[in-house]
Amino acid sequence: MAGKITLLHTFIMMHLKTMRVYKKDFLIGLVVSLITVVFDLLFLKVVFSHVDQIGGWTEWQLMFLYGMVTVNLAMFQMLYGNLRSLKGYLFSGEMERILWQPCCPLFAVRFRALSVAPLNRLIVGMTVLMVYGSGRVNWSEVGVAFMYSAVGVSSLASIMVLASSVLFYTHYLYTPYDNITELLKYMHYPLSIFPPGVFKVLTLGLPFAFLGYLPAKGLIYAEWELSFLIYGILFAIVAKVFSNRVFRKALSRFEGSNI
Amino acid sequence: MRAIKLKIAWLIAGVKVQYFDKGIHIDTLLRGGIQFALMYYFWKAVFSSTDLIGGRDFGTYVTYLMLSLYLQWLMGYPNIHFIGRDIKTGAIVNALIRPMDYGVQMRYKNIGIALFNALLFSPFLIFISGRIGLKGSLSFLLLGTLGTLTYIQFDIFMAYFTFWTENGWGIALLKNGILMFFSGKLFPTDLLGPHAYALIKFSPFPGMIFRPIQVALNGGDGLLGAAVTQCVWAGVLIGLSHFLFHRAQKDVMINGG
Repeated sequence: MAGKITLLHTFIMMHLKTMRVYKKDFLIGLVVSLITVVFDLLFLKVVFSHVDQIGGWTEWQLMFLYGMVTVNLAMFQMLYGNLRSLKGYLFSGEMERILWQPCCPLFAVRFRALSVAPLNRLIVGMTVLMVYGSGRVNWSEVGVAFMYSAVGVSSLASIMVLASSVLFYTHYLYTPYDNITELLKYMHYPLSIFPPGVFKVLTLGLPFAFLGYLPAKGLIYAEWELSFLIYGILFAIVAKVFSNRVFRKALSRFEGSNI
Repeated sequence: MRAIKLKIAWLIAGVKVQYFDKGIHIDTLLRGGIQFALMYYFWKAVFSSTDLIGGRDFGTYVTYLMLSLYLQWLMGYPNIHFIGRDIKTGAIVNALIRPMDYGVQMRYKNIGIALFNALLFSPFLIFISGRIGLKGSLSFLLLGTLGTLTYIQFDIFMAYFTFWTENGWGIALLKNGILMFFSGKLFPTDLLGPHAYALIKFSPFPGMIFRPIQVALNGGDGLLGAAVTQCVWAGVLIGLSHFLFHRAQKDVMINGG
């Protein structure tokens, strides 16, 4: 554990050094990621200038849900977002360098590069939560919402590890990682607008409802379904063990890039 | 004659790049499917409490989403990422020493990629054409082509900024943000309100996705004006890119040999 913390510290310092080198791009990205959130909210404002509710959710409720999902996705991005670089590492030969390192390959891939952009989104998401939730939601139950969120982030991470493992079975050509990322963009909307089948998939199959819909609904309506939480915790544990095993097995198919 | 042959060679290179990356086809198709399905239900929920939004009914929005999806399939090549990477690694020098303008190489490669995707996903377009009629379909083809060319040139223009920033993350984020909200990718641009649209319509962005669809939905009305506007914008962006590239070239340093 101590070794991992030392490594993590080294990776963070390395990344901060890189960011200092690419200062201009970093600053542009930081400003633009903020503007993107503003535009997302503006889009919802535009839609709500035409209607009073969407799927039974009013404007402030939807904004609150947006804040919740933004915070949880930012947490995921910070801890696991670099998994997306795996394809690049496989093609560039970087993966071989990672495998030489005396540490768990999955850990090394996760923290090979760190992005502070999610930190930016985390702050914005929290601000949105505060602004739209202030005086409207029951903050005393925020601990339960946090548990839901933790289940959501952990499950998503395991699903992304599985998605990344697919690369080793497709000659490094395809991973559903970006397809799942596309799906996540729609978690900002109340899942009740989708047909029951899709709702079930997003709650039980790929439990993305834990990233925003369930905790936000709980805080807004003071409705917590314990069975969902128990299911979510079990799912997160099983998914974590299963995905790590699958990744290790998939890694054994790595053939190198002859670089 | 030689110049034309070189351009065709780059166009074919673009087609080949796209043909051999099989994984990207599955990815593009699935991503589009997810986007369409979920936006369909989003707008369905929105329209459950109103009949018209911005003068359009639900059916029109569904057609809009389909046509937008088709155009997005032609605009997926990440130029900023690849040019930025080449600048970082120094591989850009291989492209710069070729006896052909770098911008032209990129433009024709991108056209090849867009052409391949246009053909690959053409059954989908044929399916949608039933919803917009012959006149609408023809005007969509013309304006969609001009919109795609403008997009390609805008993408290359933005990618040139990586000569200074060296990393493409921020630039790509900026480009995606602009496209998401001003081009009409996810919703008709005029939905932003008359004041915002009055400003945006004088930019090249609505002509990339929104205007081709709007004209197609109107059965081809306003085709000529939209086509001329988009040609002018494509020309302006080519000129700006050329200017930017020559400024950027002065900053290129090659270490070693």
